Amino acid sequence: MPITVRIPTPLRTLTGGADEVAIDGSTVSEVIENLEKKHPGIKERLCDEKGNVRRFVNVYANEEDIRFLDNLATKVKEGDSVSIVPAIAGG
Amino acid sequence: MSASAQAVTRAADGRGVLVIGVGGLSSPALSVLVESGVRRLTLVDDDEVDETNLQRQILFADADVGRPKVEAAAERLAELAGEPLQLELVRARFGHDNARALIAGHRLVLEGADNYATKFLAADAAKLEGVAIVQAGAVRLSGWALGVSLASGPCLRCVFEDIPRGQPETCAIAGVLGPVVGVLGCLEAALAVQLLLGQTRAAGVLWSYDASRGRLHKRRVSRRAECPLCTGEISALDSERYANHCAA
Repeated sequence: MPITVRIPTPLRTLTGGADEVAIDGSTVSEVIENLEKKHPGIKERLCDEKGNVRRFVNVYANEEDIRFLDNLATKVKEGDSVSIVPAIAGG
Repeated sequence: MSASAQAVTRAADGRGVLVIGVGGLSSPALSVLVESGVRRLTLVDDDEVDETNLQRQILFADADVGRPKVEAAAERLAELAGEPLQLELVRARFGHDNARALIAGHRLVLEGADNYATKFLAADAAKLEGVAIVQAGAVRLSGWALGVSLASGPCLRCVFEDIPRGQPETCAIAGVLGPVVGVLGCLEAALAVQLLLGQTRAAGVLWSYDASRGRLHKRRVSRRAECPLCTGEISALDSERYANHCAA
């Protein structure tokens, strides 16, 4: 079972409306790269030009904020989940 | 008034609750706060009611179009309470030059702004004034909410770090489903009441709502060691930090 990536509402236009996508990878970085291959354009929404996660985007590996783990080098394995939570400003 | 409402009334003493922005989030939040017993409120918004607001800003009706939001809201809230409220109405923008003075003396801030800069300004100013804050954001079919208690630590900058640059989506641009702000506004009110009553466990939890999948998810968040607000690196409200971004 690959890794389940949970896609937030603002990014579902890039995944054909899917709220969950199955992606392979052994680190969060690999997962994002493979996510980009499957759904071009999504990496730019998640990462800046240096390849770091954008400051207003939170990424969780198995509900743990990767900033408190190994950031993009955080290891993941089959059956794990990666969730993306961007900041939203409307009110 | 019930005993629980009386407890909330007593808890919201001093200047009570400061509400930043009287729009989609604050409309349901204010309704619930007043029904829950909050009697002292300061409302801050420089805008007037527009016809396009009515589908989600439930404090307002057709007859309010063109009126200052703070005035229309005050009337509606007094009707809901069925008794006099102690209201301060501030028809002005919440900006770096008035933020701390507006917040000072309140027991809690409820932020319902429609732009990132005001949200981060509110977070910074509340921290500097030592006042708890409840914040939220919503667009299209999703949103988030977060309660911040000084005792338990994580603030908005621990979670979303800084203002995104470029063209962020707002309700005016992308739209928002009315019930989405309804859910999140009521959640803000729930967090506010809990914090007013000293239930600090309500703070430090990031709530995420996805209306398209019917999911409300919560994650406990942690204080970041590098957070410039929690470490004291941000010690003043530098206008450049929010320049040209604050809309309300």
